[in-house]
Parts: sequence; structure tokens; C-alpha cells
Amino acid sequence: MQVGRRSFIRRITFVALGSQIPWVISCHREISLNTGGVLTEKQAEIADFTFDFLLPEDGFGPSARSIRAYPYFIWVLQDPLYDPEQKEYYKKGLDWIEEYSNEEEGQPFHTLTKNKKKGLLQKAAKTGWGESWLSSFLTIGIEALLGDPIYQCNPEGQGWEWLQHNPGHPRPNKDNRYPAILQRKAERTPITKLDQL
Amino acid sequence: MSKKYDVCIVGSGAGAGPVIYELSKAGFKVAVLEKGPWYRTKDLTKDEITAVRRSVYTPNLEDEPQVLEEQTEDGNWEAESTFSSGNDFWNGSCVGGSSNFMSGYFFRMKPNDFQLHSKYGEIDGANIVDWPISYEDMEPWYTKVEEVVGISGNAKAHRFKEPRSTENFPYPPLVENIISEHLDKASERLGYEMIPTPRAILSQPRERRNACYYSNYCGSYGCSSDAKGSARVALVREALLSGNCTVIPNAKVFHLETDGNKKIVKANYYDAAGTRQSIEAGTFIVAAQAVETSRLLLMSKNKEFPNGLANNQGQVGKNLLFSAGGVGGGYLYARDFDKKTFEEFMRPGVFVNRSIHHFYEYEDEKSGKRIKGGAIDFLFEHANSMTRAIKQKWDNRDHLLYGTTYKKHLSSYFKDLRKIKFEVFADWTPTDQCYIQLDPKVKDKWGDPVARIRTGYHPHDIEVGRYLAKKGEAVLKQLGAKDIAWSVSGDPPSNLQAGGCRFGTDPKNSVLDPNCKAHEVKNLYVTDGSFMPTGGSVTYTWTIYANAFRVAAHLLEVLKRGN
Repeated sequence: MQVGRRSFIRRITFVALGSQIPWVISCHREISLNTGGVLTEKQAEIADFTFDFLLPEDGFGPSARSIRAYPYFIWVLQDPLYDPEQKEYYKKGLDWIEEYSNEEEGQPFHTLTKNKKKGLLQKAAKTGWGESWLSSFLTIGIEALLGDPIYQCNPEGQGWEWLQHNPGHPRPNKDNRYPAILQRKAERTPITKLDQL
Repeated sequence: MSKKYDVCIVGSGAGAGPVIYELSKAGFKVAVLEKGPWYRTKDLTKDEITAVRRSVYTPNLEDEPQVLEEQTEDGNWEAESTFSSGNDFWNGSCVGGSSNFMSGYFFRMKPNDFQLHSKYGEIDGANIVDWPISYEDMEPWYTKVEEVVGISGNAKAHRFKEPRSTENFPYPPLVENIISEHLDKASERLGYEMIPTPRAILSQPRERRNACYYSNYCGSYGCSSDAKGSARVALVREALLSGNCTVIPNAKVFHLETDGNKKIVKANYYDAAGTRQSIEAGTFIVAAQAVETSRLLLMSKNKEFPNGLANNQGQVGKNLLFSAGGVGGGYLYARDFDKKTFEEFMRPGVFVNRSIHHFYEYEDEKSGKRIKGGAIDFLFEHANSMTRAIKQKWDNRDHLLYGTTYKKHLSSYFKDLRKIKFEVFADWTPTDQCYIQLDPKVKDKWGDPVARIRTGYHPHDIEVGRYLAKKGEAVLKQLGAKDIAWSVSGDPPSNLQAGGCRFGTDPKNSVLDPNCKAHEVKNLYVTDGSFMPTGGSVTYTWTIYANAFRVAAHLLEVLKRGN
């Protein structure tokens, strides 16, 4: 089930309580996540946990952490060419989870136990808005699982190896990877000879 | 820049390539204005992020949306920008156009396709006409494409085989997966003729082009060995050797200017920096792919042509065509075959290359009437890993899979089965509900009105598609595939577009004459698929290439006469 992304709004509105919780309670992580300047600390924590939830470290194939799904997500959000509405949707969903946590558990997401967080996301997956948003996050996770390691994901091709997938060659290099290849769209010089190619 | 060329060509794909190649080689000064960049072979990798997941080979939809009009269940038409819907309708926007990213399944149209009206009669609500030329007129040019662009295959005899002036293809067939033999046997048991699929892919090297190296990534990807017969590699790059060809990349033509005497004098365009430029030439050729060709003519309004260039009869943009049909598929499970056979099925890279043309014409069971049918191509599911993994997110009740459940499902999908597919190709019956106009509101980043595409289909096409899909299903069952499913719809495939500037002998109901010169304009030719009044039941590219060679030969005569 997919909900039209541009017409989508979360149907249940809720006044977030997150801002009323003292920072000292929420700041329980030993290592803070790199927000890349595109997420708040709270959004970053929800995003990181969500990737773990979708592609867990379960002894069966690579996990979100081993394929670097979260850093890949930050790269996507930092991409000025990526669909801005889609990026907004990813971020809005993080806020919706925070709202949902307050609504269902009476406290912010980052204060929940791991099991409670997991339970909340399972519950969200049963709603239209939650399933659609989690699906979009899983797509990012899949890109990180099977993308070329040049994008700082899928280290040493572990996703390909796990799925016995032949990714083909040639592989991208620094000049022809996305978005470097888009420099071609700025070329103005007329081409008249083979040696220009 | 304003410099006088003999010929100015808008576009550089399959419809433009042969003209660029022939006129340059003959010594005429040719300028090519291509809206997209020139991607070099060294730029083209098997990176799924670049080729599939981002808008690299196509325009950014925010900068260049299109508007699609689709019919709702209550019969009304609803228009939505592709930026809003995310339903990208572009295909390859670069030197060589979409031919860079084709799979290269190449078939000639058949003699009856040129006489659809005469051979099969009227269909209510359709605008079917015969072509003004015959298969015999086109045959030499089909043969020329085999040689110049390069087609590999085996011209096996079958009941609807097109007459050929040569015995066989110039290049031997590509290496096939063992599944091809299994398909041959399965269809034989059903009494269907299975034939090898010709491909516009070199199985042997030739000057400046290497043979196919079976990369496992063909369609949607540019070719890294130059084996694929894209217009960029096979024709435009070769034209540079003449010293007469100038390709200006990232040049978006927005207006063709006439002199008050029904002659184009100038193509106005924006360069990569957004600066307005122009090119002067004696003859102009538009080959920007069907939708964008009609759009450019409609945008080129002036006092002589208040409704758009060559459109005083209101025919530009009308009778747009796609390819009708659908897709189906089933699964070859490891558990259903011996280990060795399944391992052979899983061998990546090598091709299936099998088709059925047995039902190119059939008899309707109820009416006994002869019906124009179509073609069925067989292929494996594309190797794209992300695309396959994304599809596996949903269970059979359309609920999201995630966590360990998803990972186990994904692992099994990649390792324990292979999906074998078929694609059905039928005529897209031309109607008054499939056309191109300019959108009154939505503009591109240059401020020009975008194409608004009404995509109505004729219900007849669905019936034919279903008939063919059932045949495809029967073959997959015989093959031993399981969980077979197919779907036939009126959804237009954006990469298979034609029509909009029909050729014909009567200026009242066609835009172009039989040589693809505009009836109303002295020096305008259209050489992409826009000329086609009907599309046949195969992919268009070979016919577009062949027709462009045919028109190029005519143009050479005209230009040599100095006319």
C-alpha cells in the first residue's frame, strides 16, 4: 500500500510534548550521531533507531549499521538535487514518530526503552501513515544495502555478497559517480572531433 | 552564436542519427542541437544509483515537468504535472537519446503493418489509415540499419517472417542462457513458433566498437563496450569523423523562426548557461522524440502559423501512439529443477532472446474476423538489485515487510528463484483521445509551456493484449514456471512513443508528406517516430532508424540539387 507522497499528511494531529522534557533526560546516548546539519538530535536518533528496526542486527545478513544506512541517509538529505518534497517527507515522518510516542506512550521517543521503541514502530507500521513512511525509509536502507561502496554505504559490497548478486562492471569512479556526472549538463563547448570525447 | 549551416537538426536520437550520419558524410555542414549532454562511453557505468535511482539521464522533474491527462473511472480527464505525481515520463535526454538506454530488441514491421486499414478494416472510434509507403519501400533501409547500426540474430523462418533482401543478419546471435532452449521446447509442445530475438547489439567487434561483454545490465544502462547500437555510438560519433558535424550539447530549442514565406531561417535555443542563442541553416530537421517534437512545433507560433509551425490544419500533436500490451511473469524455483539446470538458469549476463510472432494475426473466435495481433518477447527480470529488493517490501496482502522477516524473504528471492517474464506488444490504436498540446499553465525552467499529453487508449488494444498475454502465460506454464501472473492495461509506456505528426498524401489529415517533409513548410522535415500513423506490434526503434535513413537519402538528392 502506497499513499501519494505529495498529498499525504498525517491524519492524527497531536501537540508534541517533546520540548517539555528536560534535555538531561533525553541525552542518554554515549556517542552522538552526526546530524549533518540537516536533522535535529531527536530526529537523528529516531532515524538511526528506525533503520536498525527495519534492517536489524540479527545474525542474518548485513544490518543497517553494517551497511551504514544512517550516514547514507544523511548524504541523501544533504543532496541539493534530491526531490525536496521527498526529503521533507522523510523528516516529517521523524517528527510524526515523536508525536506518536507522546500520544501512545506519554513520553518522547528518546526516553523509551529499546523494546518500547520497537513496539511503537511496529504499531506505526499498522497505520497508513506509518507504513507508508517506514516503507520510504526501507527504500533508503535498500539503497544503502545494494548501492556502490563509492557512496560510503554497503562496505566491501557486503550486501551484494550476501545476496550473491553480480553488480556488473565497470563500477563508478570519482568522475562518473552521481552527482559528479551531472557536470556534463553544464558543458557548452560544441563537439566537432572525436578527440573531444 | 549565429552561423549558417546547410542543415540544422534538433535532437540526436534514433530519428536524427541516420540523417546526421549521412548528410555529414556527404559533405554537408550539419549542426545538431541536443537538449541533453554528451555522455561519453567512459561516463557510463553499471551504477544503479546513477542509472536508475536518480534523474541523471533524464531532466529533473522540477525543472522540466510534463503534464499527463488520464481518464478517471467516471470518464472525465484529469491532468497532473509529473513533478507533482512523481510519474516521470522522460526517457534518455542526451546525445543519442533513449537509444542509449534501450534493450535493443529489434524487429521490422511486417508488410500488413503498412496497410492496417486495408487489411483489417475500420475499428469504431479509431483513426486507422494505411501508410503512404509500403514494406517494399522500407526494406532496403531496414537492411541498411542491420549493417550500419549493427544487428545480431538468426533470421529463422516463420509464418509471419518479413521478406528480406539478405539471407541473414550481419552479426551472429549473442550468447544465450540455457532457458532459451527450454522456451523453444515449451513452445514446440504448444504448437507455437518461437523465434530468436534480433538485438541491436554487436556480438563481434568492429571499428571503434567492442563486442558485447554480457555485463548483465543492458536496458536502462548506457553501454560500456559500445556494442549497443545507440545513435550516439553508431551514427553521431561516426559523423564527427567527416569534419562536417557540430554537436551542441545542452541546447534547448524553444522556437523555429520563419521568414514570412513559409521557410524556417533560424532555430532559437538556450545554451547550458541559459543564454539565448540561434542557428541559421538552409534546412531544418526536428527529431526530438514524438512528444517533444510536437511540442516544439506547437511552440513555434507566428503570424504565418498562429497555431504552431506546420499546424494550420490542426494536425500537429494528434494521433499520438505508444505501444499497447502488458507484461507477465512467473518464477523458476530452485526446488522445481535439478541443481545443475537451476544453476544454469541463474547464470547472469547471457540473454534469453526469444519471441513469438505466431499470433501477429489471428482469428477472433466469436466473429471469425481476422484480427491484427502482436508479438510476445521473453526475458529475465532485470538484474537491477535495488529495484528488485524494493518490490519485495510488500507481502501478498500489500503489507510492509521489515526486519528479519524482510531480510529472509529478500535472501530467498535473490538466491532460490529467478523470474522469467514476457512482454506483449500490440498496436496502439490511434484515436482522438491520445494527443499532445501545450499546457496552459505549467512551464519549464526556461518559462516555456510544457507538453500536456492525453493518454487515452482504445479498448480494442486491451482485448488483443489479453489474447496475447494468455499465450505467454501458456508458454511459462509449459516451461515449469510457477505463480504466473500478467497484466494488460492502457497505461502508455513512455519509452515507446510515436505519432503526432503523421505522414500522408493529404495535407488536411497529415502533417508530413511521404518524404517526411512538412506539407506547410518549405524546409522542415521530421524524422523521429512522429511520422508513424500506426505503429505495428513491435518496438519502434528499428523502423525509426530505417525511415530516417530513407529520408536522409531523399534529403541528399534535394540538397545536391540545391533545392
